[in-house]
Amino acid sequence: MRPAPWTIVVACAAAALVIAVGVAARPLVPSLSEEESGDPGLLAQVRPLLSEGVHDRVGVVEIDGEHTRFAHFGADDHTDYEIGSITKTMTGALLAEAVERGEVTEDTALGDLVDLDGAPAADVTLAELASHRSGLPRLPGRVSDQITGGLASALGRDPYRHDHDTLVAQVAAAEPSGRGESRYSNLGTAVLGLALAEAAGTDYATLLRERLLDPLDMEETFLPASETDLPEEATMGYSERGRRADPWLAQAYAPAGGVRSTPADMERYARALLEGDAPGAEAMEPRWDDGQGGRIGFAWVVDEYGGTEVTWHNGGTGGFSSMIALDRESERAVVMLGNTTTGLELPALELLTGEES
Amino acid sequence: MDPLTLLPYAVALFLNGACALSALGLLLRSWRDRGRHRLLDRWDASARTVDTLFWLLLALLLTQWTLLPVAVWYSVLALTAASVASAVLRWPSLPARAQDRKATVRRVSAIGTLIVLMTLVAVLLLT
Repeated sequence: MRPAPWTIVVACAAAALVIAVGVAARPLVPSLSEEESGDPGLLAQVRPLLSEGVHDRVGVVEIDGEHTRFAHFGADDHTDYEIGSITKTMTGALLAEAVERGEVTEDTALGDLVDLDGAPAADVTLAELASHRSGLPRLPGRVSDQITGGLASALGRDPYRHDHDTLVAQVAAAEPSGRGESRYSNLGTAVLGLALAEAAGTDYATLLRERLLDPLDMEETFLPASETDLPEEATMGYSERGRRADPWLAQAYAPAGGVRSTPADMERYARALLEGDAPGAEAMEPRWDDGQGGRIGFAWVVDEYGGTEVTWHNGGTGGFSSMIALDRESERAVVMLGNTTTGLELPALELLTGEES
Repeated sequence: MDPLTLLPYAVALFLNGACALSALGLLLRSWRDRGRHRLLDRWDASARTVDTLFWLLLALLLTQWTLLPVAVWYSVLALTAASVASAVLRWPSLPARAQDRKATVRRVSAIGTLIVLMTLVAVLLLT
């Protein structure tokens, strides 16, 4: 039987509605921006290194002795990126600085600075927290935290929007296991930042600003505590699921990954680290096994790549990737920042060492 | 190779495959008047339509689209749109409710999946 005309109209409308909604909600998978700026030689070197994976905006800094070269794709020296876990190196520096000031020692127990009411984690030391040897889990182990964190990640939301009371409760509920062995922990670095702020009688954002960012003139580096702290033209990241990722805000987990910065500021940071005059630069000294064949200091990892000793840290958020790699002996450094989740570790290492990683 | 690196591909294959199969099933049933593989009543059509839309939403949300060509999304979307249109075209000639033993199951399935779908959409829009 031939359908009535109105049925055909409704069928076409239904199909059009499905397609319209599907096109509006389509996955957003960007491609590397064709707007290039910076040093032509560095651009030519970096372009093939970004041929794999998904990229949109990428900023590259290469320091070689006194010389610095920048290369940007869809960005410039002042484009802001979430640097993710590179923030941990700053928290490590704050620990080294606090030890030098005599505010704490490496062996100060966490429970002496943060009220954990005798919880198992109260005994771990600040050095253990900074070097991922505290035995604390990577993420909070409470079922409610795992469900809300997993859901937030799946939906492209910020999974770390916890206040300090929640962070302390998460740490108090944690059972450290394998203490002294390497176990990467965002939870541990977050509470380390809180402990250092408590020791200094301030909050983490102020501590970082006064002791690291201001001395290095890193004026474009900041910790957004809410969406209103973001600049109007803040760079947006793309999630691995092809969606615009919510920005990760610098709340209680800021010390583990809440900083936004620019290539210009990261050049200042990397240069100061190479020259050894960054506050808390001793954090880079490798002192313990990292459990994967390398060594670790206060957050910084030291590995051999093709005969070059590289001091590095990477970062990743819901919509950004980052990598900082230093060849301290040759006074060379590479920083790469991007607004997709495709890792930048291998391109940065290849650029630094000249060896295919 | 770490087997875990294959997990996102497996998830993508499962979700997009489930959506495509669901849409294809609805499309074929919409054009059949007799036999086991036909739409039995309007609740059957509703349940299968909502099922297909549910799989489509899951595929959109949970696939790592950075690993797949976006053409996969458009293909699954086009198939879903065609199946929904077919179900609408078939709708007037279907009985409101068949009298077989599974009629109630189909009605509960349609309403249940619709509630889950609407809840998921609401969560997405409100959070």
